[in-house]
Amino acid sequence: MTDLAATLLAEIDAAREELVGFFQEFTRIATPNPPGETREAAAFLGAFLARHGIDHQVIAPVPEWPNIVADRSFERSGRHLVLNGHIDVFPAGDPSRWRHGSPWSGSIEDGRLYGRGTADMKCGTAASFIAFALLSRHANRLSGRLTLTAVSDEETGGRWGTGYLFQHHPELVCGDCCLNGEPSSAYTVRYGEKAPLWLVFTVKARGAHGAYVHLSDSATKIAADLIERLEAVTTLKPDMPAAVARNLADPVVRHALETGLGTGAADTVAQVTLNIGMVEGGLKTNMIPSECRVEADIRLPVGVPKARVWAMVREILADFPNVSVEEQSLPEETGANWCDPDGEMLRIIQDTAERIAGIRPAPVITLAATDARFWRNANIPAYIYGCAFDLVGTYDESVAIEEFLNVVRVHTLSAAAYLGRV
Amino acid sequence: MSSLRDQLLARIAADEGALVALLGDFVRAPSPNPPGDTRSATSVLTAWIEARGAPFRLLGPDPAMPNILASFEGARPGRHLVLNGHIDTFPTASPDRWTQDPLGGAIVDGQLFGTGASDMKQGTASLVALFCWLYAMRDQLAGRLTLTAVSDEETFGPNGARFLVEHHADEVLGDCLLNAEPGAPTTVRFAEKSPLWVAIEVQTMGCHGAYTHKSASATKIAAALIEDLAELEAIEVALPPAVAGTIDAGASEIDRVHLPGAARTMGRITLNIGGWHGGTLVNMLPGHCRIEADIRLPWGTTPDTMLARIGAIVARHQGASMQVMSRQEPRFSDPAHPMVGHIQRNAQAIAGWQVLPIPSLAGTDARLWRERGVPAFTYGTTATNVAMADEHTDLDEWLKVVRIHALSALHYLTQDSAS
Repeated sequence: MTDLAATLLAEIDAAREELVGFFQEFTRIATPNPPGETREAAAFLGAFLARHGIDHQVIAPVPEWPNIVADRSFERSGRHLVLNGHIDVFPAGDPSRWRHGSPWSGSIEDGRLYGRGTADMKCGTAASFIAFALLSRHANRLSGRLTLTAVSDEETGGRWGTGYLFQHHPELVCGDCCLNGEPSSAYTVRYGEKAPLWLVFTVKARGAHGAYVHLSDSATKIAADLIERLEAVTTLKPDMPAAVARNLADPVVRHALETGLGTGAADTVAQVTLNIGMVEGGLKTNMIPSECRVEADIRLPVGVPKARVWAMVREILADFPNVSVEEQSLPEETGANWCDPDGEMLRIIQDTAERIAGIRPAPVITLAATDARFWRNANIPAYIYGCAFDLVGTYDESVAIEEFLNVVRVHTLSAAAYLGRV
Repeated sequence: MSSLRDQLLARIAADEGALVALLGDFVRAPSPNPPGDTRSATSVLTAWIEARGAPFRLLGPDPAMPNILASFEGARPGRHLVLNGHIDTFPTASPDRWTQDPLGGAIVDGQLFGTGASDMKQGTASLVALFCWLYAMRDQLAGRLTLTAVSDEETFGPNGARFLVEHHADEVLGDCLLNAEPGAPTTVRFAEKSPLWVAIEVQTMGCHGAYTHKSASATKIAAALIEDLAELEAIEVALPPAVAGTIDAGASEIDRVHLPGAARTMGRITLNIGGWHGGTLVNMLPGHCRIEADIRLPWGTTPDTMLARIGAIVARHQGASMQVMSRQEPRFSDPAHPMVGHIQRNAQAIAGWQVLPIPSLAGTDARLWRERGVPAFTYGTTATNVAMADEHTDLDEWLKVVRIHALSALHYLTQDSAS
């Protein structure tokens, strides 16, 4: 271990109460999205930086959804690392179902901190702020540049958050590497994500009284046929880069995926999947429906670009003249995003995590979408390491305090190693 | 007999202007169902009946949905004929596409326009009028005539004909039912296919939409179920000969009235998936899905037989269960019943129409009588723009049907003495 790493670990231990308090207070400020109002939380995060003598800027194309950026160039030139997290969280659901009477209690019970957004991803975002503050104290021992970005509007697509920064402030975010604290569990570090292709199909028919089946096609029956035919997209075989194919075949990786995401997950990651998320057809039992809406959530693995799925969907639709389709996902995303599963930062995270948490995280591609995709789509490696994800979105969402501190340690030390003097 | 016939035709001729005015007033008194408040429309009819001195009562569990029940005895014993029509209408369809005021009752080129003008204010007005004419002639009639004008037909609700047959069976069932729903004046309908409505629910665990390995999908199971249910439509049903014969004989008329394919549809099991609702968000794998199947059974099969088949299909699918929303035994009345003969002869004599007995695809309140063993027949004008913009009735055709209704009722109530 370097001197710097040992110093940082000691500083984290010494500041333990303050760091837990910071995570707790952050949790207590409600930031559900929708509606996505995050101004109070952003002010709280800004005050944390100010307390540590760090300047920041607020970039708020939508005033209610501010993004916070802190940027620090070190004296010696070197690489540019960007830390990224989000301030907004999932909606809280029914407040009465939370065990401490509120989704925003920040209560600590049996060593766990409870609240909506603790896992996704106030734990990770807090770790980014702490890492930035700690590294700022040791600027003379680092080279290159460190940028902290905490965005609003992640949960609803990122147009006014990370997407906005890439479009309007590329000099801040287009670094050499991105480190993100979205939940991953201690067992994995994430280097890629399948891409969602969300398609809305609308089936039209003439409609008629339900007894007069000779008068009209049925929009619901056509929809049933269509759904069965769409299953064919799951047979598309990916054409994967060798590094990704090797990674997905690695028994250690497969085991990590199956442990974390359930039996079958290792195959799911490598396949096109089709979810029919919604079907809505018909007004009355005794009317032949004139319209039926089918919403399909197709997930593309590395090696199956959207264009291939579109080609197949169009071929299927040639047999369905009364069906139209519209993409609901972002058309500019052309497929899965991934970066080097053997990259330097990935090794740094693995080594650091193994030392801190005693578990060497396996590099995996995941199923859920995060803002890391903006970096990967810009050909900048982006890695995710964070707390467990199994309670995300539940009424028991919580993070173990020790796990939170480990995420802080791994982020801080990994960033220090990446920016350390060579 | 011929003097009675002439006497009745003379009354009709004398009342023709007033009758057209009655239909206009009836259409101008809105009675859309839902919501189903029919009081003003009902009072148009009761004013007509009162003015002619006939007795009547208003009945029903919902004061906003009155049912008219009127009845009289003839001079001597005989059979009991019941007339049935409804007062409520569909809500005005496509209000912005009408060329006439849907509540205006305007007459343009011999067509009377308005919501309910065809379904079925014209038919109900015809029955009310014939009841009053025959009331005036009751000293010369046998048996008994009962009028039921009901307020809860459009939603097959509990407050209309269903209330009467369940709570006033002695008064309203009778020996024969004449119903005046529109259709085509060249057909008399003696049977209806029976709706069997089944809801099928599919429950699975559900999960995030990307994790398709974690849970079966309720929507996909429902899609497979719908495909499997199609096998019901392939079942060949051996129709009772009396029904099969009328479908064969009436095939071209059935296809003319209900558009090509209708005759084939008539004798077969059909399946409509009237509702299909599953999932809440595109990126969640649905743990729940519901479909509503509207299956129409022809004569020669039973709901029990069909439910056994459906149950077997449902059992093949994980997490699927079914519940029966509504069921009826398919029934038919005798297509050679005397009432059919009366209608055929009178239609021929009044309008030169050759009337064929045929079954019907859709349902009317007549089924409530048929399922209680009472022969029930539906005869009416051409259905024109029912539940569509510019619903209307051709007055010339209507006035012929009015005469055919009245004469057929007269013949039924005088038959014993007519020979």
